[in-house]
Amino acid sequence: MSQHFQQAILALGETIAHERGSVDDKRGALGVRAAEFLLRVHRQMPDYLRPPFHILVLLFNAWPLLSRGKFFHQLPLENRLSELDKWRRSRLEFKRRFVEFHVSLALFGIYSDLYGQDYQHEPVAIGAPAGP
Amino acid sequence: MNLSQSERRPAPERLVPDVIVIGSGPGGAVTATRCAEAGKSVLMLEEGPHLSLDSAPHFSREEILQKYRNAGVNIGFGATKIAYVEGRCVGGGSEINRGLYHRTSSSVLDRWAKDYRVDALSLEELVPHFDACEAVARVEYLPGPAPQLSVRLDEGARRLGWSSLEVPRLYAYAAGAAGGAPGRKQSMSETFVPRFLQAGGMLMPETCATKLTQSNGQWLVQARSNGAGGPRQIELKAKTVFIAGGAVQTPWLLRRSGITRHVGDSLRFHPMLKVVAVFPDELNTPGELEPVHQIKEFDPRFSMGCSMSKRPALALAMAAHPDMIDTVDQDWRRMAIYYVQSTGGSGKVRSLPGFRDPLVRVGLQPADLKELADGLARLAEVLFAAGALAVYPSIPGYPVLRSLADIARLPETLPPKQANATALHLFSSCPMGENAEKCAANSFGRVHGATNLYIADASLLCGPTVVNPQGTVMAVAHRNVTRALEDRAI
Repeated sequence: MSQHFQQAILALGETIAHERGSVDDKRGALGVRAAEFLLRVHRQMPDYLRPPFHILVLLFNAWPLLSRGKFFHQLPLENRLSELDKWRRSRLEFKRRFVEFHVSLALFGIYSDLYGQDYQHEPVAIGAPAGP
Repeated sequence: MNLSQSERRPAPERLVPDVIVIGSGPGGAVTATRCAEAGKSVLMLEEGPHLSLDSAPHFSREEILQKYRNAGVNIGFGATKIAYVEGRCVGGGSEINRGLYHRTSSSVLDRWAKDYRVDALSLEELVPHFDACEAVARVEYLPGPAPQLSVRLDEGARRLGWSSLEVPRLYAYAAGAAGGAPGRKQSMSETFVPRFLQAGGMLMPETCATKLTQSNGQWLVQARSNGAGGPRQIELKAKTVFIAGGAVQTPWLLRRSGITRHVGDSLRFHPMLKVVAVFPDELNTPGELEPVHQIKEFDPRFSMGCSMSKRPALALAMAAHPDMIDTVDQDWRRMAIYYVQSTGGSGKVRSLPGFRDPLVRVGLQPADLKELADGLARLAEVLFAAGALAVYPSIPGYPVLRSLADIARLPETLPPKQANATALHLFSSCPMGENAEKCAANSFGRVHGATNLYIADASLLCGPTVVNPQGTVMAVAHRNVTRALEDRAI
């Protein structure tokens, strides 16, 4: 994975973490953890999907060069949020799908970090065998 | 456990077992155990790692990275894309599913027997095999009241006069178990795999079979093994091979091996849509067991049920409404996930030259999309009958529903590119039967035109099971391997 790719994913994770309205001090760390999760998913996705997804991430990162003269990962947070929203509302399907894919995974990662305790169970009584 | 047991033996690739089973999910584990307990020497290969059931919480980020194939990112391509998931670990799909259990209905079995000319597939003939599997992997109803989010669906159905039932699970509920665990899911790693090892079977995890060839009456299995010394190519031999990689991996391996007749041409699945419902009162309680109710009023067109609704899952389901994601933080105790699944859609599985992962193409006909749209509307209807204040379809661009009147404003059919459907159950890619125009294997799973080569997984099922298919996969695998042993074909 190229450095630009990793920088783009890190910036994307941080941006998605800040897009949540909940204001707390953890958002920076949550963004980094979300980006780590996204990188793991990119590494494990089907091999024929990796090259096109890699190119899409680089394209997303380079897109603001046209309008702002900087890569996505070089933009201040406010401009990143605006770029992400433009892709989300784009008429081009591939842009919308790109955002849906990364936002859904990043949110899953963020809420896994925030609420991992939800997976704890309480003991219960013995069950009854099912009939045929 | 058993890994150290196998370390005391010669390296498996130096052995020539009677049987190699490729895949350790419900079909593979049942088949391998039955062979080992019949006194055969058996080597079971599994592409994924051998992990305990507790290595990660169910449906957590960690579980997805550890036990799901491709971290859960699998896409069936077509005008409507379908995301699907598969297990990739010892125990396969049984490790990651919820274990909801049904025996196959006689109407489904009779239809398969008729359309595909499958011999001896009546419910009566399958019952002993259900019994045998359920004696090893326990199937139980909840010991007490169901979780509120499950009860709520049942109540909504009753108010509308719809048929609803509590579904048992492959689960052994326990009293006051240490660590707060409510019992043990009866996945393959907890049930059949230990029995297989106890019977002398050998398990080789982290080993992916990549090609089969036959020579001098033996099958040669080329495989890539990730051992302690790093990845290496190995070649294994056996007289008999069972392939049980699942409905996508099995046709992929067969096609790579030059066996293509009716292989991978008829994939079927249960397409599923999810919604998040918000209720006026709290119903999503930490520590509760998983929901178990399903609505069967519209079977076999579509059925409805409840999903595990912890906050990470809610966030994933609400990602289609990013402006409302903060409601998960604030209102999660009043929120729960429900689904509707139908039986429409078909697909093909192909191997791509130069790539490891199979390409899956899917097609949903206009009637299939209409069926799903109807199911979505009915699901919203029952949730409002259950008292929901709002229903969020997990479909990007779809409106939030706040009343029955809003349901009427939903599109009459699902827009193909917008559907956001997923498939948890895949089958039928190599159907069994004597119908030479449709079937890849005979009535008992032996691949047509091949000797001593069998399929033992969901690929064999002739169509949608309508219900959760694991019980059917296990019973059919048990039936087929029993027949092969009785016929002394192994």
